[in-house]
Amino acid sequence: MESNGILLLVAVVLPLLGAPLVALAGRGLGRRVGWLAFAFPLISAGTLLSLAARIGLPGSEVIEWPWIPTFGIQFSFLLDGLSLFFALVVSGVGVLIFFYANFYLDDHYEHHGRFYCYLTLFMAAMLGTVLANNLMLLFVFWELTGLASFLLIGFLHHEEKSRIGARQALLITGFTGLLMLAGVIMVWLVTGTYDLAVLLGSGLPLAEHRGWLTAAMVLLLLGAFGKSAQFPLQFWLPNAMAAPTPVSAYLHSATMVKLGVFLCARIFPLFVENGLWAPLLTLVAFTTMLLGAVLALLANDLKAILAFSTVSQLGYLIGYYGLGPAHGVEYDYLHILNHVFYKGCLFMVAGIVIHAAGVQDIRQLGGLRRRMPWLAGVCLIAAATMAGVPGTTGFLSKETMLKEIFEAMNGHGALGIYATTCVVLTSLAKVAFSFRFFANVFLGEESEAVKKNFHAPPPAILAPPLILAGGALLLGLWTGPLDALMRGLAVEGLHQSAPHLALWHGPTTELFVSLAVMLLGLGVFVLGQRTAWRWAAIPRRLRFDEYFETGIEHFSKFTKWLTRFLRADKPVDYLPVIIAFTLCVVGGFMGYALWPSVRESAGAWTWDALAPHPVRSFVAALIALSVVGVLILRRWTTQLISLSVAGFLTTFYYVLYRAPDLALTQILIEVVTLFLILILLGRFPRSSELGEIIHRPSLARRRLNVVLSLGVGILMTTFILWFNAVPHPDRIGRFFTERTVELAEGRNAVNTILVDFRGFDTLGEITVLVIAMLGGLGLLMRYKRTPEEYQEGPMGPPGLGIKHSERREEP
Amino acid sequence: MNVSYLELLKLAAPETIVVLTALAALVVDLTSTRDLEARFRFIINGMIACAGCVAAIVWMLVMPAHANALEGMFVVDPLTQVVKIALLGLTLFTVLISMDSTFTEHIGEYLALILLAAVGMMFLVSAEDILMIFISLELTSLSLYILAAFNKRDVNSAEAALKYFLFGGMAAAFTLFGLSLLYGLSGATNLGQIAAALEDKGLDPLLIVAMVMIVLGFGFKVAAVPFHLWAPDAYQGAPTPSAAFIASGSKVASFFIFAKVMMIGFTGGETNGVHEIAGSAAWQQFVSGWTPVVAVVAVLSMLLGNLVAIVQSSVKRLIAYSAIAHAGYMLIGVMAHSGEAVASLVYYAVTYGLTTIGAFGVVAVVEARSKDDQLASFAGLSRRAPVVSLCMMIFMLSLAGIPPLAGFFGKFYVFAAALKTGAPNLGLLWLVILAIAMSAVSFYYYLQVLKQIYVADMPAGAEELRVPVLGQVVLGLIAVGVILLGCAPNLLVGVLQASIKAAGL
Repeated sequence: MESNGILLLVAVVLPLLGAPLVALAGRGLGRRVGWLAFAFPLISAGTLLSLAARIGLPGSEVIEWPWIPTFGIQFSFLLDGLSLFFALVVSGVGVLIFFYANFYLDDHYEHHGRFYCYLTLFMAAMLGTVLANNLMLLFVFWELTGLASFLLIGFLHHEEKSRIGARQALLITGFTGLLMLAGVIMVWLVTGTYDLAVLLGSGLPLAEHRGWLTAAMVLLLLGAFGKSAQFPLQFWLPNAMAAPTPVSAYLHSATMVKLGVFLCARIFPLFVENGLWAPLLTLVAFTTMLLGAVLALLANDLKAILAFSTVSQLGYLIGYYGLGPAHGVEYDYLHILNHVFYKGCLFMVAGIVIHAAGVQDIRQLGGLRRRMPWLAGVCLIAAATMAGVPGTTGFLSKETMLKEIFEAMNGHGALGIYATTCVVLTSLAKVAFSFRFFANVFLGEESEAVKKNFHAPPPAILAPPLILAGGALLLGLWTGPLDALMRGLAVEGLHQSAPHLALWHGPTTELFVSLAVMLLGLGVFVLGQRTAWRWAAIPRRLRFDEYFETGIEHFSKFTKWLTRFLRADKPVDYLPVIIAFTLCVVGGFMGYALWPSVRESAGAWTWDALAPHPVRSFVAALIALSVVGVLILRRWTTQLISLSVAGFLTTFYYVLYRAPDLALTQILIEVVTLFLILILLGRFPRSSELGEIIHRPSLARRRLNVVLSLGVGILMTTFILWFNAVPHPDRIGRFFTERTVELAEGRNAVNTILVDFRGFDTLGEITVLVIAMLGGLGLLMRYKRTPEEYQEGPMGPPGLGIKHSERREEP
Repeated sequence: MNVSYLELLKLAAPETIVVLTALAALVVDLTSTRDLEARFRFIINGMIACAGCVAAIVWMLVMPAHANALEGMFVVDPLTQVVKIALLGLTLFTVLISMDSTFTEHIGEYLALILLAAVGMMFLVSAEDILMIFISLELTSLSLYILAAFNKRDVNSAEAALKYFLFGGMAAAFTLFGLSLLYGLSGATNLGQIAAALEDKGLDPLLIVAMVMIVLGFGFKVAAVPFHLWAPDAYQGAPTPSAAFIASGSKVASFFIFAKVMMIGFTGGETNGVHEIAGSAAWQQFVSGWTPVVAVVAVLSMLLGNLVAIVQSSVKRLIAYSAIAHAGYMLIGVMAHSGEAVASLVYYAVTYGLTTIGAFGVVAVVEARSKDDQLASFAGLSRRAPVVSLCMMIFMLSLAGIPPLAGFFGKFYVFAAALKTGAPNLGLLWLVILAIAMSAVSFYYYLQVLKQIYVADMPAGAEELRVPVLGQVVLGLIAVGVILLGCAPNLLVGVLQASIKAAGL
């Protein structure tokens, strides 16, 4: 246990910590740093192999350290067949890729240290993701792979293409990763654990929380679809090919994009019973598969052909889990391994070809077999594997694929038929573009471009693709190790025991279909050769990336528009915003909460209740009139006086209610305020008032103001009516009026409240007022405007002007 | 009501220490260091201020207290202590990043105001009484208005402060209106008593108004849409350290008290598992109450903050809009109104505050050289000041919520708390999905900053940026803090959960 933990740390954490060191070492070592980085995948692969031997497969083991125990988030790893299979693929391919990259990234490239740092970081993150036992840990590593992929795609960041590709990849995988996080949290809320081993052991309470868990499943699968480039998000993968070829071979065909496949396999036992699992996976994945194959047939760029065919194969791998029977799937490792063999190999071949010939358009290539016979041999095997020619793992994969798909037709009805159609059509296209890939690069006449640019690659660079192609060929002929592998790494819940693989199953339906597909595919290839592939071009309608880019562009335009539309730099704009919000929310609530009771009481309500008092109505009318005056008048002083007329008239109202002392107070306050503001206004330059008169707000704005003011009026009226309708049972005033003689020996309750009951408050208020007045006085006396300043012309619209870019220039 | 003043003084000792430090800094600056060079004055008085903060922190660590003085006027419990320590930490960093600034010669006054604002925030955190809340809110706000105006040589600073002040005054008026309505309805100023009085009243229309007004007042303090209008201008115009303090300390305190007011004051009776006054913002199960109001504000903040941040060309404005967006995420935590949610909210606010101070610190460094905070001024920074650039990268990635940095864990914690409130119904899932979608959008503008720093070419003639050692150390410390809190969130979360349990929320 203890030593297993150490081995695991060496495999996962060592490269994680080592990555920054690689970057540092790169400054001194330059290109040679690659060989230093090469140690990491070697060490990881070695330790993982020994781990696999030690835990005694097909058993499993959980290795755990505490991280955030309060949330049940542990630094916890699950070692079982599935995770070890993926981890070995990652580190094993890693060894080949690091080796290959050392020759590929020659002195034409810069920043080798940074490149290997990202690549090592990526490998560590990948290992972490596939080995994680805690779903949160899985998510953390998952996002880290996305980040590393972003950095690697954008490695040649001076090229526009790289930047766009990196951005698309990050946006899509990052965003879907976040959705996956929501799914993870939802699973946690139902089960109370992030622990995969526990979840797999006890299963999910699917019956009780059907809706909740279905939502969680969809979110998790969206994460998988984003990472594995499933329809309609498939477009980021081909654009990610802007990265240097080792990156494409490693991240975007062999490992990272398989994370979606991995996730589907991991959660397969949890969700396969869910009714939505099969249709969702099947429809999305098989559509992706067909679309990818068609696009690969139509593409002309070497790497694009491979990228689209990767998309296609990923679709198949994910759909495979969708159609899988509930008690387990059989051959998923075979399909994955097969894809790793041929696609990794073909990418490396493509990289060597591009490197040697300097072009990557397949139409400009040809006749390379004479210059690079070994490479041609390797490519032939890999292409044959992709096409599914007997004697390779591709053939085994295709035979079992067809067999299973025919079985699924019985089990899944229409879904199965759809899947079968997609698989058959895809296989056909695959045969055609496999042959094309080999024939148009290596056969035929040597093209002009090749003659001009060719420089021979170093021979050692051939080793990695040779190993992969050799694997495809050997395992294709000799199925024993494959069988043993699948049995040894089988995981309970995910797999069921499969019949032995064999090259020859006798004359079965699959064989005939396979033969027919092969022939038809050859036919398409021959047709293509005859017409010189003139029709091969990706129609604009299928360019999803362009839609995406247009979407991004429109989005940015929209945000610009929104910013301009909502900008409110002037303080005068603040109040309407706040009032509008208050009106909407309060009004909306009142309507929502009170409407029933209002409707109920509407019948009982009569005009008599409002029977107007003649004198009071008259005063109210006068107040209204003076308010209208404020609106109509233009000069500040007249507006102000009109406003205070409204205040004075209010005192009449108090008089009518027989509260002369209140009226007196009101008059006093009104006078003081009026004088104070008049004094202040007198100090403003004339120009600012003129400015306000000249730059009147637009008609729409004034209308808005009217609406808002009326709204506030209505709201306040409603409140006052409401408040008066339910008088408080225990008014505080009663206390004072009852005790004013007894305690304060005065009859005027207002006076006694001010000077007796709340004497200290009054003292405090007076003090504050005095201090404020002194401060105000100080400010007023400090600065006097010069006559010149008064005579300046209008200053422009009211408000202040911070300079910032989003402001439109005033005409 | 028997009050032992000595006891009260002991409870309020940290606040007292900070006030005394403020006065000390003021006096020392006015008397003995007046004739020194500005830099030395800043260092001497800054050290005094830092010492005060540290002393207060140490006091709280050494003398744990748990008391409720004057019926909720001043509440001290482990939770308030944690928040206060965090606030003092943020104050400390604010003081430290302002040490190299040259915008003022009134150094004593400047530091004293920072400390007084911090005192206001500390009282705010301890208040469970609406009078006390309002007074502390005003103490904080008034200090911050002046801090925003502190660069007297710069018109923009004055304008920023004026806008902040006008809007703040307006918001304070609204808040006061709401609070007085609340008092009128319940006859009490203590939050607990208010809740008890409102228990059987249900959703009175006046209560709705009071609620909306209070949300509005706090919405202004935390810069949530549509009360955010001041924020971009204030952040941009104010001296950078002041802006950092407005964006960090003030936010932590405001969010804490916002959540407290809503959770203690506005709970009310329960029917069918839904608080009558809180209501519910769950999908297709809207029940009127304050949570839908907050939900509206949160949605608007997340949308507008993130979308508008994309087009900004000034980094301070960009941070301002992203602050608005972050306020939206945090409001989701307020809506969840559970003990767990408060812990998540405090964690989020504190880590966010820390990160923002760091980001502003970097802006200050760049601003000192290039005289503006435009994105273009950051071009090629990684080659001119590698350490500072690395710190900025950590801050930006944390703000964007990239694991395993503090920002990621904050988001995760808040969203988990929100989902938990609604579980096992889909509840607040719609809000969480929106928040997640919007944080994906936010990648875009944070990366924009990093792109300038790391990818864009250096402007011709740019030379190495000489960053003072102290500045580098402070920024480095903040960056380490952000990483540490992200990798080992248990450091803070464990304390928070324990103290929330102790405080009984």
